[in-house]
Amino acid sequence: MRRFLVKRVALALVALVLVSMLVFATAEVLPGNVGRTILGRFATSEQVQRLNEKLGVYRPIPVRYGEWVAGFVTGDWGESQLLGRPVREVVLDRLGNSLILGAFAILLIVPISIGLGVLAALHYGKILDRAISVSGLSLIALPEFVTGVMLIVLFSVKLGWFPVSSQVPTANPFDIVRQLLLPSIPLMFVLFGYVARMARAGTVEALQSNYTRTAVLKGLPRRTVIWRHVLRNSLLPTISVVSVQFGYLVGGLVVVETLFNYPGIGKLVLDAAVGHDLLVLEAAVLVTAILFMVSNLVADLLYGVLNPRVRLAR
Amino acid sequence: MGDYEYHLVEEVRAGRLTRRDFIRRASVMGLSVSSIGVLLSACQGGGSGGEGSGAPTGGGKPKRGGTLRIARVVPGSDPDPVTINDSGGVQTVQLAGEYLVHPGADNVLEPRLATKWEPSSTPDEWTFTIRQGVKWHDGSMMTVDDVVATFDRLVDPKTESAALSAFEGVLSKGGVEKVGKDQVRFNLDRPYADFPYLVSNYTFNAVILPANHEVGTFTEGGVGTGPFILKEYKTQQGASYVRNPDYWNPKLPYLDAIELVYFDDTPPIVLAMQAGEIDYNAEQPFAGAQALFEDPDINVYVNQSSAYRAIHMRVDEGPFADKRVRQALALSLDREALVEGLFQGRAEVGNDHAFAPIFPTAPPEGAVTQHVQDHAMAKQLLSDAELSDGIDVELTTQQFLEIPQLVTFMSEQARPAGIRIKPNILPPEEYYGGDPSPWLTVPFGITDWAARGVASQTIAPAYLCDGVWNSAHWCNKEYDRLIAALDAELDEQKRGKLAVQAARIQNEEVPSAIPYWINEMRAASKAVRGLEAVPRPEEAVFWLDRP
Repeated sequence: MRRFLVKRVALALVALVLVSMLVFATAEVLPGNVGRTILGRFATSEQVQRLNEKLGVYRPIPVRYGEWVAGFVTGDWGESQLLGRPVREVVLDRLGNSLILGAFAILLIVPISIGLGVLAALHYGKILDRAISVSGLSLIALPEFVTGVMLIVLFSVKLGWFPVSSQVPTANPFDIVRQLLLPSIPLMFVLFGYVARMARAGTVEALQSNYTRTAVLKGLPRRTVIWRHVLRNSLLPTISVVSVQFGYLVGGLVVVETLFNYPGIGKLVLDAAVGHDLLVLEAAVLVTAILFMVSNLVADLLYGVLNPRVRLAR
Repeated sequence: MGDYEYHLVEEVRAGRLTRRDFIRRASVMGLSVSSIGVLLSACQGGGSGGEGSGAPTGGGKPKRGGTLRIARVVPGSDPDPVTINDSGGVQTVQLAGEYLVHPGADNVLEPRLATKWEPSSTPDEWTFTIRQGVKWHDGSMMTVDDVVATFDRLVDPKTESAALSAFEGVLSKGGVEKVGKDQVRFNLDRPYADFPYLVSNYTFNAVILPANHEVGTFTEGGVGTGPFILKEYKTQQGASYVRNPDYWNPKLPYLDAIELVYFDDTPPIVLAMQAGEIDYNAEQPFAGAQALFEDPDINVYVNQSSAYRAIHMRVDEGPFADKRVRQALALSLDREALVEGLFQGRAEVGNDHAFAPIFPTAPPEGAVTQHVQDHAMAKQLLSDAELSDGIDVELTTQQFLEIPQLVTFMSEQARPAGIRIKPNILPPEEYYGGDPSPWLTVPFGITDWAARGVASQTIAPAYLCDGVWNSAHWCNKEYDRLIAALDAELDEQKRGKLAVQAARIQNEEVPSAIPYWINEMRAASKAVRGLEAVPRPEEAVFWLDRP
């Protein structure tokens, strides 16, 4: 177990170093530069060059990268050239906001998707199964900005139940639902079909297995068969799917955050990339990557807990 | 009555100058509201005086108090008056900062931090009298030295001033001096009859700042003299302002506070306005605003402006080096259809010269031949240029508002003339990024230009030989001479003639096709009063009448 952990963490570190290098390199090939972003299109080339020089943009990449790494690992993430604020503060603040939205969305999505997926499997081939599968597939095909706008127009503009621009909620449960329910629904639409399909497939397979037949034949009540024998086995692949999606939820919320004007990290990454705010871009991408890797690791460990065969094999 | 005043009165009496243009011109030359009133009565033997700088009320007696919620697209970088160059940054700064003069209705200039201004007879020297007793938001007194320092900073090539190109060729470092205890004199590089517009908010960056202002500290709050004090700035999210209790105009502002909320894009702003979460959006593009026109709780204020799109064609190389090819493109466009298709009529047809219909110097109807769609003529021009098979050209531009649709319309309209357009639509940061930027180098491109107060401001950087943003690389000595003469001329008849001559040259040479001049649009909830369809509304005179 310990060896497994050490190996995984070491691999994750290598991956993070590669990601950070990739971000640095990508920022170099993006059109424009930070001086131009700050000064705008009507500043002269000389002004832009002078500012870029002042900001150290023209120094060799390895030098800048080395400095950045040294700062990052000691907790000094530098100052955003574009925003004039400490990077750490901005990035962690935004990450926190995204985590709140992501966690709420996961809590909403996972039970509903798994529940309906299992329900479909239990009615395998019947009308309910078809309905759930088809609607899941259709919803995947609808992009977030379409469903998001429809939801806003209906529930915020016409009915006035929810705010159009979602803020970071207070601790009040009512406020949490008010602020986060609407932005979570387009995410649910995207993930629902995926997660429900996994849950359905796993359950169908488990239902047809020998151990289920044995359980049924030895006279266990249907409820016990499903809870003890079917679900325990069928949900394993679903858990790994969900954990991968959590990374997406936190880092890939750009569309939803833009639409609902929610101050999360996805939009920060996009703005930093477009504006060449390298320090913010690096920090934001890395914390998202770390989160992604941690959630994967947690999923693997959970997998092991739920499935003794895997635990022994490692 | 001085000679100049007499000249203006004569022009109005002879019917060569409208009352509106008279008031505008008189305001540029720094005549006070009361003397404008006296002159007007001299013109017409009575009649009301100028409206003056009194606050418009937009119906009813203004109520005090309340918080106005404003939406704007998020600024691209930390806003500071010296560097601002986008809509979000400008809004953030202008609530707290002020200019020497303000363009009111019909672009008539009104006093703000300057109480009076006056040109020398040439007019290459302008003397501004600075308002006394104005307090900075931190409580200290604003002085003439602060004003001098503000402009020194803006024209210093070593600073990050985004206004450097706006003052290029007009005002250089060392050109600003303190005269006496309450006056500032601008010694210009060349005569410029419309100079006061350059120190109004048509030069966003000309906000008066303390002499010791450090670029980048504006968002810490408390910088400026304006009606509202910046209290809190939340990076990329918004800003809060409170009423300035020591504002130099004790009657204003009416509002207690302003909440500025940043959005990433316009569509969410439209939705937030429809839901009643936002009261005001000062820059509502037509694209996507259709829902607001139909909303019974929202007013959309539309005013003519000098904002436009320049379809530039490089005259020094590539397919458009031959003038006839540029003319062929100009004659392939159906401008009425563009205005209707892209704006449902909320734009004015352009004629490929830079004198917008709202500029006082705009040529009268018929003075310059209007370019209209004429495919036969366009084909003839191409065949004269030995291109009877037509041409294939790449049009490089940006993903911004209606421009991609404009490209589609253009391709359709130009094809029958034999001009086959291949679009290359880039993100704005790529079109304007890089060094040199595509917008200044591609042979065929479309650039968005914001509204300016007078024609020279539009023309100087984009169409003069040494213009820094001359994307067509067009250089016409006679045109340059006419514009310089126009800037130096005070006689209204001569100004009009010079403008027509210049416009004819540009219309004939077509460095850029200018298909339309866009109307500016602002959207506000019906609760917002005091707002009118003027070029630059000021939040200081807004008040709220919430049901």
